[in-house]
Amino acid sequence: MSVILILLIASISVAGIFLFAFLWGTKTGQFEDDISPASRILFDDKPAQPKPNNK
Amino acid sequence: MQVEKFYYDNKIVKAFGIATIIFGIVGMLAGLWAAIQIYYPAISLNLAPTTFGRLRPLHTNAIIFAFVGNASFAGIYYSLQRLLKARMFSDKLSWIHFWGWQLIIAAAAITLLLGITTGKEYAELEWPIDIAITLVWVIFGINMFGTIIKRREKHLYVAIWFYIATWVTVAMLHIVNSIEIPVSFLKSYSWYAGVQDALVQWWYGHNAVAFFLTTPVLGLMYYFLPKAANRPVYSYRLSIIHFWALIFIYIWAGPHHLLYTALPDWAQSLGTVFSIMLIAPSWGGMLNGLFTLRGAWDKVREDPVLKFMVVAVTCYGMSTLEGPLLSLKNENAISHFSDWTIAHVHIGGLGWNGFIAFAILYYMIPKNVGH
Amino acid sequence: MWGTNLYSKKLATNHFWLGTIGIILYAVPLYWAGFEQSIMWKQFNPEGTLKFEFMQTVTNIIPMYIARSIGGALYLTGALMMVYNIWKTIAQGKFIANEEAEAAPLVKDAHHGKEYWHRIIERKPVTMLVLSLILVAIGGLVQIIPTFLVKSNVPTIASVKPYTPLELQGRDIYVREGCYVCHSQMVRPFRDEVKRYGEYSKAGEFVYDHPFQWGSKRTGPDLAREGGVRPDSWHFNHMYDPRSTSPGSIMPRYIWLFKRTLDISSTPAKIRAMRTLGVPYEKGYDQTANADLATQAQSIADNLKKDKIEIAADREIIALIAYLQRLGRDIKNEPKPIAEIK
Repeated sequence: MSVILILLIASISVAGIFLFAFLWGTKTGQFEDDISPASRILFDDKPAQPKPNNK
Repeated sequence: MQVEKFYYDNKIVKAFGIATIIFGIVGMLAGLWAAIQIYYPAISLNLAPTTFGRLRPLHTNAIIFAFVGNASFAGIYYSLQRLLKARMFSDKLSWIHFWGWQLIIAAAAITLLLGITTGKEYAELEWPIDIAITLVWVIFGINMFGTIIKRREKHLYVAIWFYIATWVTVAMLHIVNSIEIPVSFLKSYSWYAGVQDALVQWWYGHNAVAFFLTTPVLGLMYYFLPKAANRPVYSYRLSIIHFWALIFIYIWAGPHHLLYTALPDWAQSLGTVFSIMLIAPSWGGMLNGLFTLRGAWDKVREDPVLKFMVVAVTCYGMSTLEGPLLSLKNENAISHFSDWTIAHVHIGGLGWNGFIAFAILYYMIPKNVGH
Repeated sequence: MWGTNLYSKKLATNHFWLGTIGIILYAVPLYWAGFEQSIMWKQFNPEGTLKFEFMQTVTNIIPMYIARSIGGALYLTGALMMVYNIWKTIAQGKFIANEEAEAAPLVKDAHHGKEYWHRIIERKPVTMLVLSLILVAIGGLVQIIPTFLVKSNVPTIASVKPYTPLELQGRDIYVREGCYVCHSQMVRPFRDEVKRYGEYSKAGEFVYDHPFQWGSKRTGPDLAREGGVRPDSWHFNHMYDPRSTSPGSIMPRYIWLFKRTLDISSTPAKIRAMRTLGVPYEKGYDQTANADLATQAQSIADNLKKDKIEIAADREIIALIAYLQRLGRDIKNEPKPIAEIK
């Protein structure tokens, strides 16, 4: 079952990448705000002049 | 601060959207044809390319990589630009990605019907196509990460995390499982043998479901469901937590496809344990989706997009509860090798993936500006 | 993207209902079929014999298969309605290739202090706990796994030998035709499976299988112990018309295997590739492999002639028969040549 080693190295390195991403996200404050991002996506970024964009 | 003006690329989304529709129909037709062959074998026309053994891989590959794949790309290219407030990193890369992917699909359709296959389920494509997939995937990655770097929105919305996880994991799965030794231009042998090959294959096969059919589609759900309902997701915090839990647990569940086989017992048990653990994050996602519609059920009555979403998310919940149950050894003793598994995957395929794909097409294509 | 409304909400709603009914009509019969067939496989008579032939369990669920294809057809019809609906939507709208948008550029954050992220984590006990757990989990796995690697988990079996060149070619035909889609090669250690198919499968039996062909579905019976169970002529007739040997079979006919000649020019390259992968063919065997192949093919053709079947020895069907007759024989106590089993 030496192939387990390959799978583990692969899986763990991906887990490592995710861990790194998670740490990066925490470090840069990605998870600080867990309320407003959910609402923010609801607004489109249409230029205000031609058409008023009110939902 | 100076506000910048820029343009979202809708053309690429349109291209992927049309490809989704075309290959969706093709894939479903292949499935229907194969389904009829099961009770009426003569409908194979006694031709080699249209027998069940060749049509079924065509069906699965078309649905997974062509239909759901293109739908995910359409949804990703649409939502990524809007979530990051930026046009895609490079239009050229977008189009290389699009045409590369469609060429791969065409090559896959031809080779599978000709019986050119590696014989590993959901990884049937031969080595030249495997290499092409890797290249196109890298192009997609550069384009996506490039866009993330030049974004105008500091916060990465949870959908983007799902897209990133998809990209990273699929790349690894594909490469590890496709290691094979070429015999000729269109024939190769898997590098691994027997039990080892089986373990690699189902580690891949299971995670293909996880990271090609689940994480990108969850990302789509987190963008398009709130957009269609015009209300924020029920709990953004939950979405973050269940994302991280999901991706860390999913990787280890593959051996549940090999219960009671010649795979060593400890590996089987490991797979079962992680599969059971998966219920929590999966249901976190499902409940988060359904609760988003709390107080908006009147909209569901009106809007076909939301109708599709509700059934899709419900089917996601059903198949992610059933999946762990099927990975219990005593249950698996009955379900494995039977049509039970086929029913299970079609709840996920028809219900979850198909309905999300329909929903986002119905949402994106009209998109009444300023409505 | 076309700056319009959906052409018909009603049509989309109809698509939704058709699709939903399609899913139900697809899944319910198939769950039923799976459960019922699996239970039938496992049933025994009081005297200890299997209650149902494999074929009985198949014909029994045919109605469910029909219902499932109707469900699939409904789902497809719904999708076609969507095509029409989207077509009309696109026709009535005007495509906005480049959608205008406005946003402020991102200001690079000043605080990239080195201790910064750690302090955040420290202020968040839950995050810290989760992080530590993840680290421990990964660390634990890294430690546990090498212990498993110390002792090999695949015991080799002395009597398991590499495939002959003809069997190898036959195996590639088996892969090409997608036989693994409907036939498993994995007898699980259950009373009914051992009774129906034979000795349960051992890991060491598959060490030369590139790729493995365990399969995931038994639309047809398991083939792991198929070798030597039936005469060559049975396989010949069965592949030509499955219903001639197995009435009620739902397997397709494989008539082209009887017309096509086997491509033996690939044999040396295949043997070399297998050698690279560690299959113990002798050095230089790639050059002589085709001679062995021809001998074995001729013996199968001769064997078929005894049953009044005339076929040239260079046809693909001969290779496939050779492979099928090899399946699972290695660990049977006394491997008899195929000719003796009648």
